[in-house]
Amino acid sequence: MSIRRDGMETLIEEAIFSANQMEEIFLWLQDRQNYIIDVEITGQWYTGEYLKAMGSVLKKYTSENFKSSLYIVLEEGELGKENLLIGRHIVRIPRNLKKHKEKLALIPNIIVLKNRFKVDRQEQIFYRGKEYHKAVEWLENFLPRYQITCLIEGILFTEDKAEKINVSGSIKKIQNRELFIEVIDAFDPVDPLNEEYKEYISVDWIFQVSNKSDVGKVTPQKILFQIGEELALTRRVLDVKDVKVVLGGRTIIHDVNFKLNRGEILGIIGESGAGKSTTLKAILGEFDYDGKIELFGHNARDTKTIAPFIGYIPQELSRMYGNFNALENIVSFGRQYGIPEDILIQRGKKILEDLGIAHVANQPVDSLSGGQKRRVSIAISMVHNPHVIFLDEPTSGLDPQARYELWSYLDIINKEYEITLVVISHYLDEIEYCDKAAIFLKDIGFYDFGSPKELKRKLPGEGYAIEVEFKTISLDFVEMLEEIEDVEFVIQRGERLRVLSKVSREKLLNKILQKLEASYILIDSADTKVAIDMIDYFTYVSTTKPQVSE
Amino acid sequence: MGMLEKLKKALYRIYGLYFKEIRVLLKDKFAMLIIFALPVFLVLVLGEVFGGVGGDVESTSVESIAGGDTMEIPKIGLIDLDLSEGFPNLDLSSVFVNKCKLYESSGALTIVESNNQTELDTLLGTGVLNGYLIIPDMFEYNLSIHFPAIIIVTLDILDQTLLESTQSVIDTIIEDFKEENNFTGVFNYEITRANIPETGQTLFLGAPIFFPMVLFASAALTSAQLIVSDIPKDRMSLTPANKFEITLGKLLAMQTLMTLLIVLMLVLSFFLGMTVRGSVLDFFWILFVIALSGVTFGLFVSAIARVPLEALQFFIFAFIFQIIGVLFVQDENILRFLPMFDGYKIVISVVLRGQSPLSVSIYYIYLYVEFFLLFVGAYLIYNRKRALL
Repeated sequence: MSIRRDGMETLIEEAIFSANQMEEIFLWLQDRQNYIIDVEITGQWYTGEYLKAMGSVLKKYTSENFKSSLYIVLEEGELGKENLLIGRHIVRIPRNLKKHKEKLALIPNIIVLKNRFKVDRQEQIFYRGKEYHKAVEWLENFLPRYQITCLIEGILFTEDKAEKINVSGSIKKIQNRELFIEVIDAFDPVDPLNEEYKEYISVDWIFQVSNKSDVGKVTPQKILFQIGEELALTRRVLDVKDVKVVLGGRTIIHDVNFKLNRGEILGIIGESGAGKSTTLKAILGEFDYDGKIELFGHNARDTKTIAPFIGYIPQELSRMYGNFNALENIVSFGRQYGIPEDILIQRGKKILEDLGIAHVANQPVDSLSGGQKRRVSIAISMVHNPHVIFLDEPTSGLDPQARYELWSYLDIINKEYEITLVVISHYLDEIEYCDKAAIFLKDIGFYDFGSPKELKRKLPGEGYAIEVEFKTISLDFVEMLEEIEDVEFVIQRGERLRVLSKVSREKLLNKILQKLEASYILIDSADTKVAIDMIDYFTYVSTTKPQVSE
Repeated sequence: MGMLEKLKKALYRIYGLYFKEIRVLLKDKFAMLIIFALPVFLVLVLGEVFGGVGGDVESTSVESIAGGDTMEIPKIGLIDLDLSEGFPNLDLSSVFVNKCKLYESSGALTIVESNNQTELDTLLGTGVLNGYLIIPDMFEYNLSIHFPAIIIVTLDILDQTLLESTQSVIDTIIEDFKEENNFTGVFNYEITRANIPETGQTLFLGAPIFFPMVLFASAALTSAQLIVSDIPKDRMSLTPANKFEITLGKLLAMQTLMTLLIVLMLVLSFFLGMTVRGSVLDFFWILFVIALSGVTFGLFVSAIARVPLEALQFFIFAFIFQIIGVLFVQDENILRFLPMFDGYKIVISVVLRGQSPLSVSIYYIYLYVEFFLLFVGAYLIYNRKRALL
């Protein structure tokens, strides 16, 4: 076994096994159940020819007991000395190889397993032919929401004969418990290079799959579904339009508008009491609202449809079981998504490891530090592989170091687990970690939405300011600079003043220096182009915001 | 998704919530104390493991175990065996019988006359009679020669709510009879208590009140914290689990522990010599139903309360209300709404007397209805609460 980096600087863990090391293979896989495992395999194909093929380990849960057999989806392979390509196959290699050798499609010789540390999001599911009804039930549940592709190995019944067939394609519909598949590839597994057959089963043909052995239909022996993109919501995760929340006759928020795409981090940032939490609660279906809120294209009021796709991390650390350890908490919450306990434990261990708290996984949550508790809370919300996680003030009460550390973990969650994040915070500087920000101001409610860069560009100076550093600063200096023509706004940052203006900064700096010189004020340095940050942004918007009459 | 698939998913979620609740309860030392330690300790106390309670059972006065005023009229059997003659022109035993009938006509008691003691024993055993009097032979003659004459009084002490009134009315009749005929000193009566087994008497006699009260209190007190103290449940309700499933998970988990407690209490009680006339299964079932109503009552309280202390206050108030109700309220139509009263009635009839559960089906029905209404009420109130504060 070895761990190396390939040319693309991607970490790969590689293990080479011979066919008589099946037990070792299972142990190796057991420790890596959270990852997608690629396979390179050599051996003897059932036709007697030498086969070299590549694919991936199939280990997703169904009623099939994967503990007694290793299932591999072969994506491509070369057969015999002529290097003939074979198509997609699902092959089974039993744990007790010696006992079942004669029945196998592939008798392996060398098996190379590769772990590229890509998190397995469990997007494949396998059924045997005799589990056809279960497969249809599963499909009825998922087909309305996802694009589903499939690989089906089965028997095609024609007028005079029954032939083996492997079909890959996209499932179009289910009708009378029959699957209608738009074929991408189909071939005769006995003779994969039979061109006549390939022509006969032309691409774009809609195949019917049924378990009734009808003429012209395929009766499946092995069924593999692959979950693809969610329909109608390929990119848009959250769409909030003209939302208004009225509680007890008082309008808490109004005209809230923002959108979030998959993979982004949205910060809902603002002062306390500005309506951030109210907005989140409306999104999560806790508050009734006017307007439109859609999560993955579903109405947010349909909370039970949305629940499997979202994770929620409350601000209060008391919202997990304090006398449970981290894994017990993960199992308790994760079971509600219909995930078996052993999978929850494996996933939980991996997440805790990624969040740097695997060493405290068996300690009661109450005995952990605030930062560790927060990460346990994050782990709980991740265990069902949500597409989006809502975090309610996750850094509240943490010191700057812990806040930075937490954001680095959130970055891992966003990038490695590909989870979209919606983060509420009253720390203005945290917008810098976000791709998009919805700005809330006290007495105004929702104020603006955009990327940090876009927001800053809306200010005079389009994201830049003149900065003058003084040897000793006085409060009068702000007023003095604001009196200068074309100066829009002056922000004090310690011993420095940042001047926002729409006109040429070079010309304006000259005016400023002249005025200061005339008043015998000494400066330390001056810069015509300093990038403003979100603290400057908030100082500007909170000072210049429209005043609300009582 | 088909209905079957939905049901399967819901069952799996409830299964997860159930195990979570069991785990929560097992890790809660105070809950374990209330659920297991205290009831078991009380069984040991009543089982006289620590040297007995209140001295010898045989010498326990009827007053000390009497329940109080009741709305029922005592039914008293009467056998006149006296054939002797002592006073001319006077049949003294008939005078006594007439005295009893006079009291019957005033509504103080119901007389069942008989000449067969075995028949009266049977009626006493099944609770039809609350006691019977035997006027022995030589009653009149002995009194005429100033010899002591003793009326034999046999009382059923299983139904302790009627014991005192039965005893009281017999006292009044005999005192009245003695005074009227000036028999002071030579006439008395002897009380025999019926329906008491030879072993485990304290547990046996205490069973109608002890088992329902302890189980109801233990179940309700612990369950009263299950919703209001479960802060993480708000987060749970943002998963596919709904509030009905969360409530049901709590009910099932708590009832499982109560079932263990019932088994433990029964095994321990029988080990300490307690015997019952009814079937053990019937005994188990009534205790199971009482515990169930205790759990749902606790959940109801827990759903109403806003903070854990409030739940405890609600429980204490409701528990005291029930005790006062059982002891002092005379209208059975009201008492039937109290699970502890229903349990009391069923334990006496089904467990201690060995009668058919059908004979007290009305109390079962009240218990089942109470359980259902409390559970639905708990769910509806909890469902109205927001998940996120």
